[in-house]
Amino acid sequence: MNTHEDKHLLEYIILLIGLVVFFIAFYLVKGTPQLQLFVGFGGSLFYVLWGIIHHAVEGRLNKSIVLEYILIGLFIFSLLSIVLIY
Amino acid sequence: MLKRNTKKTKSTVIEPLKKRIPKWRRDSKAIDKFKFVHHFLPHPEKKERAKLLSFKFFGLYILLIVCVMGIFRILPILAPGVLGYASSMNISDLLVNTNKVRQENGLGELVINEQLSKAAYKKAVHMFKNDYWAHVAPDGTEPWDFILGEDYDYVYAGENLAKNFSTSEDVVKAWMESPSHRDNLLNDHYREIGFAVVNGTLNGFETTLVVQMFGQPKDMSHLANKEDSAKVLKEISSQAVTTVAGDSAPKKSNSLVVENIPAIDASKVTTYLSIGLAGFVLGLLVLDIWYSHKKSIYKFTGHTFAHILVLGVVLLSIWFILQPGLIL
Repeated sequence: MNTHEDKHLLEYIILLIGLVVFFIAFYLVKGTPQLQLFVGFGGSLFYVLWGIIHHAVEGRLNKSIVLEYILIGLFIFSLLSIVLIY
Repeated sequence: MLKRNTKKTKSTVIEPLKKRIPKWRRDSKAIDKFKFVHHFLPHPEKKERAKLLSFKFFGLYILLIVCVMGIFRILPILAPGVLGYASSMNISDLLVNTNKVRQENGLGELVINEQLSKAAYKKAVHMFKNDYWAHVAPDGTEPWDFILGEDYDYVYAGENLAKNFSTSEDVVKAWMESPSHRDNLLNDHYREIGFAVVNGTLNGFETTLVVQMFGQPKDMSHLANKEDSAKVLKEISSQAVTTVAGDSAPKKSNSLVVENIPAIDASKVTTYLSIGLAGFVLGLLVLDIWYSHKKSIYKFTGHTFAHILVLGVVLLSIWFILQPGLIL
């Protein structure tokens, strides 16, 4: 059975796995800010792509939603960057 | 007749409209309150998120972070030493914690050596005066040059560096978490150790450098004993100086605790800013879910719950994983 809820759940599971991987990777490279910055960039990019693909699959993708995920991704990356650089 | 008729028509049109508009909508104060509240809560009629979660405001948050980063880049050039990293290092704790982790791993205690401590101090001052942060100086000077310069003839030697840390416990903890630094701390060949904790301005930032040097002397009869440790620790504390690049008259302190209090603590400013902003946006997103559910507001936006998840993980990462300070 492949209902809308199942699809939604699967996409959220993918997001959760991605976030757990990000958290573990961020922890593993603790003490090396350059690598943490790289992991932070990867995490932000993953979320932007997840958001876009998720909405495309749902058939609700438009410019505004793409911009929203890009802004959230940039916001997350800038939050991590300022702490890692200084 | 005609005039009277017109008046009647006007009043019949306006009256139902007045009835339809809620009373508070005719009160300018209430309208202002409504507008203010929807900076924080979603708009039920426009079907939009709170104004503070609009694209414009997200752009402003990012711009704010970029501006702070820009100021932190320019300020050390315009006013060196204003920005920095606050610290309170206990030299004795550095030795105690180093020996503690060695003992936990079944290794013998290291004894403080005066020559190694002097070499460590000279290395720290060299880094401040030549404005670099590396094991090998830009002029090619290596850690071994400082050790040999103090007539310490060694079989094995090593160096660990740390900067921008706030406490001595954090320094040893960070070294233990890095495989290469851990190898130095837990090297069975080493018998003696030297420390230097020096305050100064590096790349325009006021900071505290910690230099740790290890060694095993060629002539084991020259091995320092534990009794000398207290004397050498006192000696090291008098090396705790404040030095700025090119400064020829460093100020000496006479305490085992080396403190550095800059005008602006860069580490605190950035951590509070990022945690504050992330927490603020996270709070607004939680309010968005609650209020939208309460008022049945269906918005055509991205998934608020997913944004909350991501921001929560970022907040946790900043809070638990990010540590102040750098090791080399």
